[in-house]
Amino acid sequence: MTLRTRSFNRRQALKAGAGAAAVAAAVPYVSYPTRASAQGTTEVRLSTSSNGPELIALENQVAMFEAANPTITVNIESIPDQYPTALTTNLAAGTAADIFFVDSLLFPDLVTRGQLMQLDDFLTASGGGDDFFPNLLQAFQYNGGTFGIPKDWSALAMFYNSEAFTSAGITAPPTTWEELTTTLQTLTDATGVPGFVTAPDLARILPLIFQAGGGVISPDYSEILIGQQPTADALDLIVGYYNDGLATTPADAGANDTAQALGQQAANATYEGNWTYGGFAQNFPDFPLAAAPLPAGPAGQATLAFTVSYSMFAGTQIAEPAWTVINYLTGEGMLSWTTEFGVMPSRSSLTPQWLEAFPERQLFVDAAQYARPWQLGPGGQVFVDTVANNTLQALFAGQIDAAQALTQLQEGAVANIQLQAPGMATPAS
Amino acid sequence: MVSLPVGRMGRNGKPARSRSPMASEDRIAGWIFIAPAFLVLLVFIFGPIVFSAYVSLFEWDTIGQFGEEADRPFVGLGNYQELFQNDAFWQSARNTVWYTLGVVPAQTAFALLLALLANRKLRGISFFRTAFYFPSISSSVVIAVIFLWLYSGNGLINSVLRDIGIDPPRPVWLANPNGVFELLAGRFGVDDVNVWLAGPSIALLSIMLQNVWSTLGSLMVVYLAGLQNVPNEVYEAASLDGASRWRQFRDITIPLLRPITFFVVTIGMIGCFQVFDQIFIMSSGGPAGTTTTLAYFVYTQGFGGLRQGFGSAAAMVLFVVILVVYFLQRRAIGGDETK
Repeated sequence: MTLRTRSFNRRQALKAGAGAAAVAAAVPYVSYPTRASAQGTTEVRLSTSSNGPELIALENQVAMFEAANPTITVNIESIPDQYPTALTTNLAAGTAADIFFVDSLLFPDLVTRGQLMQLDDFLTASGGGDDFFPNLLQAFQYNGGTFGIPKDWSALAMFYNSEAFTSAGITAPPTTWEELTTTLQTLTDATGVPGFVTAPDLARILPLIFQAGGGVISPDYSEILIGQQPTADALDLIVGYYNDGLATTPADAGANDTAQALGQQAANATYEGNWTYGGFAQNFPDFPLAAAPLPAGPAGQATLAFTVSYSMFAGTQIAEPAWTVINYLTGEGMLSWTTEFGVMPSRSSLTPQWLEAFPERQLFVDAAQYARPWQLGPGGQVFVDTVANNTLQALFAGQIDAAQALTQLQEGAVANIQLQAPGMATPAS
Repeated sequence: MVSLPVGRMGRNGKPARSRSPMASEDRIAGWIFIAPAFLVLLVFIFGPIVFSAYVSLFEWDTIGQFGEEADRPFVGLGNYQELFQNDAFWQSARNTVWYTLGVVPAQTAFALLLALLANRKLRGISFFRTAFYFPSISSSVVIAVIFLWLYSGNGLINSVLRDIGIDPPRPVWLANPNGVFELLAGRFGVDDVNVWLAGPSIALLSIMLQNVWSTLGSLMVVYLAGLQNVPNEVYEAASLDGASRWRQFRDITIPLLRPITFFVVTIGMIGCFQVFDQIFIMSSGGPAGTTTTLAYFVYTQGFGGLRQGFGSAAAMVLFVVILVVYFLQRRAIGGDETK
């Protein structure tokens, strides 16, 4: 489970039967002060939200680092559940790890509180940041400084069951909303299960709002946009699918997330990120998995890009060795990480090599041209957790109508998201 | 009381401040005996309550600015003012009220019923006594996970419903925010139901059922102990007077169990007001905030919203509510003084 599928993480972990892990996760994470060990090696603590295959890939990457840097040991602290809460609590207590994952959505809240170390001097000394995709590096810049190095990125695409498509007589994946509707109708009629699976989760529904020409806030952080007509169009489309039986949700299908519902054939298409390949290789190795770009809406093509940084705690006592670790994990070590786990390299120079390993994933690299970042300014995380997803759940259940949903979303965004956030480098979504 | 201990009276009839070395040693010994428990309460209960009250008067950012004097402005009762205008707070208050109104009577009645059954001298009754108690010794996390499976879209409950030809709710149990009374009213063509009357959501009701089931055992044991303390002679006398079993139950068992009922209701009520773990595991406060209880609201504000002051204000309100309801209920049912 990655940071990106946040909203149902805990239940997924528990439902997957990871009882012991879940009990451990319910116990507040205890951290210990860093200290140089007696043998002259420095111990660098690294907090991650990874578990499962992602954690294994990280451990392999770290093992290679330690082999090349015998004076530094990296202590991985895995917090797969409630990672943002655990991280903010550790920051509040001053006991955060030296290095930790920061999701682009949470970054504004941490950087505006001065909790992250500025990395520009280190970055310059290590060859500069020109190799990174500029929009990914921008996601971790603030007031002209760099406070995180993007470790990789992912984008949403449409994953589908190619056999179900073929046997329903669908020759090509849909490219527009109209085609999507026809495709789902055909699929549903042919297979007897809902064609599509989606979650009442802004991280899956926001691309539809982009495709309709809207967003949460304007790119210059000056205005809240989510209460406008494009949101209504997007919600009409997706909630219409659910009400008409063309779509189901992971909860209704008894699955932990949309990818699992697809794998269990409770539906035959969904919008997911490229990490889905890794999960299917492990859980559904024989599944006829195929991917296509998200169908374009009235305002054209759009998708959501997720990125996570390695950031350094402002209070670390061992910035130099910590940078050595970050520089390896986002440099030499990036190719092994991205090829093992399936997320895309954030360095443009590595992308051709990555594509050699995964030629069928060209469409994800191409998505860089129309993808928008999963970043909503300071307060964005709170807006998603306390307003947006609640509203979507009520709308899916028929408890409120689209007009009420728009009002709630607009008011919730106005109340929580800090507009005109000074210094944010990324255009917001 | 018939007589007062002589030693505590002074010569002129007033109670003497006992200053004898013996009594003072007793007092010291008393303090020493309660010291471990008292210290634990002081550090982990009273201390945090006082600190929470203090924090609630500030705009207290959970993380704060790194390396700077924390900028946590004093806002007086501002957090409380904001709280009472906050829709999510009122929603969590409603959820908590429904939760308590549903769970406490149900668990008390069923616990008494189970205790009456378990108190009968039947073959193999000790097996059932153990079975009834079993949920209480299991981890609440484990029970919550098992119920997650039961309530799942393709879980046992839905399978059984489909087998007997009943459509399960859509969205599925724990994802369904619709109020149960609202749905019932809808059946009778009433569409506009006041939010306070909409009732617990299907999701909250599912968690309430789980909670009733998992707390029954321990409350049953309390009732069982109470039942075994009721002297048999009272029932024998009543039988001789020709009282029916029902009269005996109504006029002997229930009144004699009053202190026990007070205890069970108090424990159950406080447990309901503070419910957190089941919510945290089964629904994370969703869908649409309909399983966010007051205790969970405190958590989401303090740690998700990064506003400890605001969260603490909600915690203080919860604290006062529990205290008030405790005293009201003490008057209604009567506690230890009812002898």
